Amino acid sequence: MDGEHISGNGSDALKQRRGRIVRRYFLTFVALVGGSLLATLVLEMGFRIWETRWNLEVVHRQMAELAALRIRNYIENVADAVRHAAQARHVAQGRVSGEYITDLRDLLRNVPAIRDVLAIGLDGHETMRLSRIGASSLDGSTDHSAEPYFAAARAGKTYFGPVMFPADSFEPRITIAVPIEPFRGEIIGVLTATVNVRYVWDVVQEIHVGGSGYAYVVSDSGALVAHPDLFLVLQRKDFSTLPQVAALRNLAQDGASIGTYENVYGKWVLASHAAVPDVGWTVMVERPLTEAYGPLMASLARTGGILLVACLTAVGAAALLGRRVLYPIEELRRGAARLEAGDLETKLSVKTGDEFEELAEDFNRMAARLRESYADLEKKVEIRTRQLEEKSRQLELESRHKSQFLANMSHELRTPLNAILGYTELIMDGVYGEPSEQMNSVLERVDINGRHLLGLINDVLDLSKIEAGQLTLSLTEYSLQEVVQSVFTGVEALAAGKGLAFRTDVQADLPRGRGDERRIAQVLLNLTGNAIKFTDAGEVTIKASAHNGTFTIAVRDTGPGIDQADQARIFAEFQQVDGSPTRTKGGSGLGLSIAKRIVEMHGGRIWVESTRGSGSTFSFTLPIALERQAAHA
Amino acid sequence: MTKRILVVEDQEDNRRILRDMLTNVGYEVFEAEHGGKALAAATSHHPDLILMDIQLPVLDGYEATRQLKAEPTLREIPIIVITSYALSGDEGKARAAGCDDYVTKPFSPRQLLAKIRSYLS
Repeated sequence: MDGEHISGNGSDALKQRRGRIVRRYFLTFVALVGGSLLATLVLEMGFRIWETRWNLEVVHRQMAELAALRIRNYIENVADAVRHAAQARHVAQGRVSGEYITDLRDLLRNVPAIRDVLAIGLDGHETMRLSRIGASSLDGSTDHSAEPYFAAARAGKTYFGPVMFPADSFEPRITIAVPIEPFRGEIIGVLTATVNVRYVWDVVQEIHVGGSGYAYVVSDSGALVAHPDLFLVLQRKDFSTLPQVAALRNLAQDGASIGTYENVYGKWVLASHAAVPDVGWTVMVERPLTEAYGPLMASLARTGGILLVACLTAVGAAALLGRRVLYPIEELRRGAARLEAGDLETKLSVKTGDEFEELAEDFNRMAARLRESYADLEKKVEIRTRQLEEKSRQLELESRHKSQFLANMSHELRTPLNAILGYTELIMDGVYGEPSEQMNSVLERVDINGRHLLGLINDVLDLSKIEAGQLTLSLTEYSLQEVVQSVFTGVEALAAGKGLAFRTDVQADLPRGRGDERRIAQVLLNLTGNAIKFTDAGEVTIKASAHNGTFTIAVRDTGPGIDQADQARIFAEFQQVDGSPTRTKGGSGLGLSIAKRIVEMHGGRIWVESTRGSGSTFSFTLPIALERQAAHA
Repeated sequence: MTKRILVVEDQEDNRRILRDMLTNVGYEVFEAEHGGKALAAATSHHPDLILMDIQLPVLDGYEATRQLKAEPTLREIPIIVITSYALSGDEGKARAAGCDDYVTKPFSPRQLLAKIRSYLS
C-alpha cells in the first residue's frame, strides 16, 4: 500500500517535472529557432525593402530624368529651330526685310509644333507675323517692349514662357522668344514663337514604368502640362494642390527624389520627379505602391511562408525531440524508482541508439550487478544461517551431552556417597559394636558433611536433568495443605533450633490441586529452608491461598533482605548473594534456579519482594489444576 | 522363627549395608545380584520379604517385580522397591509393576528398618 502510495506521488511529481522540462526545453528551442527565424525575416525584409526602395528610386529617377531629358530635347529642338530662324539673313536698315517671311515659313513648315511666329522690332512694335492657321495681320498698335519675353530676348537670352491654356483651344501653349541676331552681338529685334506643347503628350505617353506606372508633367505653377490621361489635361486640372507636386516647391532640386503619396485618383503611389530645365517644368513618375512593391511583397510573403513552415517544423521537431529526450529520461526515472522500491528485476528498454541507450544499458548493468550482489548476499546469508543453525544444533547437542554427562556423573557420585552414609549410620547404630563417645561425635560430622555433599550433588543432578530436558513432571492430585504441612514438619526442628517463630497461614478450604506434588514440595522446602537459614531472629511464615484458579504460596522471613540489584540475579544458576552472612550458609546456589524451573514447568511464576534490612518474601504461583506440563523452562 | 529377606541389589556396598543392618537385628538375608537371579532365589528360598533395587543389570527391578507378582506361589511376598533419586515417575512405575511399597535413595537404614518391620510383624 505504502509502495503504491509512494509511486503515486512519484508519478505526480514526475508529471510535474516532465511539464517543467518540456516547457523549459520546448520554449527555449522554439524561442531560439523561432526568434532566429523571425530575426532573419525582419532583417531580410528590412534589407529587401531598403534595397527595393533604393532600386525603385534609381529606376524611377532615371525614368523621370529620361523623360525630362526627352521633353527638354524636344523643347530645345523647337528653340533651336526658332533660334536658327532668328539668324536673319534678310536684314535691311537695321530691321528684317520683307524676304524674312520666307524664313518664317520654313520655320513653320519644319516645326509643326509652332503655331505662329511674330517678329518684333527693337522699338517693341510688330514687324512681321506668320500664323499656321490662315492669314494674320500685324497689330501695329501693340507695344511688346514691356513684355517679359521681349525684355529677355532683347537681352540676348532665349525665353521660355509659362504654360497657357488659350480660350479657343484645349491645347496648352508656351511662348519661346529669341533675339533676332543677323550677326552675333547685333540684335535687331525679337522673334517669338507660340509652341503647342501637345507634342509633349506624345513623349509622356511613351513613358511606361512597369505595368501601370506613368509619367506626367507639371509646370512650375502646378498646372498640368501633360498626362497620359488626356482628360485630366483637357480639364486643365490644377495639380498644385497634389501633395507630391506641392512638395516640390519646398524641396531643393536634389532633395528627396522619391516618396509615397496619394495620386490624383486617390491611390497610393511611389512618386519620383525630375526637373526639365529652361521651361521650369517637372516630370513626375508615379507607380502604384502595390505594383512597385508587388514583387517584394510576393517575395516577402514567400519568405514568410517558408519561415512559417520552418517555424512550424521547428516546433514540431522540438516537440518530437523533447519527447525523444524525455521518454528515455522518464524510463530511466521509472527504472530507478522501481529499483528503489526493491524490484531488482527492473530492465530498461531504451532503443534510441544514442547516449540514452548507453545510459539505460549502464543502468541495466548496474541493476544486474545489484541483483548479483543481492543474490550473492542472500546466498551468503543462507550459508551463514545454515552454519549458525548447524553450530546451534551442535551446541545444543553438546549442551545435552554435557547435561547427560552431569546427570550420569551425579548418579555415579551418589552411589558411593550413599554407601558411605549407610555405613556411617550402621556404625553409629552400633551394628559393628558400640562406638565410643568420641567416635560418635566424629561419625556425626561425617554424616552431616556427607548429607551436605549429597544435597549439592542432588541439586546438580536436578538442574542437569532439567537442562537435558529429562525432567518431566509427574502430575497427580495433591493437597496443598498437606504439602505445606509436610514441609513445615520437615524443617520445624531447624527453625526451633535457631529460636525462630515459625508458622503457617493456609487459607481454609483450599481446593485440591493437580501437579507434581513432590516437586512442589521441593520448591517450598527450598524457599523455607533458605528463609530459616538466612534469618537469625524473628519469624518465618508460610502463606498459601487460592484465587482465580491459581495457588499463591509465599514464604516471608525477617532476615537481612536482598538488594534490588541482586533480586533478579538470584534465580539464575550458580548465583548467590555475596557477603559473609550468606556465603557462610553454604548451598549449591542452584536451589532457586531449580525452583524457578519447576514453577515455570507448572506454568507458574516465582518472584521475590525484599528490602535490605527488613526481610524477604519469596512467592510463587501455580495453576490449581495443571492438565499438561508447560514447555520446558 | 527367623524372618528371611531377599535383597536384590547389584552393588556390593549396598548389599553389605543392607545385609549388616538386617542380620544385626536378626533377619536371615539372601542375596541376588540382578533381576535374573531374583526369581530363582525367591523360588528356592521363599523369603518373607524382598528388597528390590530398580537399576539392575540383566533384568531391571520393574520387570523382576512384575514376574514375581505374576508367579502365584510368590505373589504374596511383599516387595519394597528402592527407587533411585530424582528419576521422576519411578514411584508410579514401581506401583504399576506391582510392588507393595517403595523407599527412595538415599534411604536411612533406620527408616527402612522401620518400614520392613511393619511388613514382617
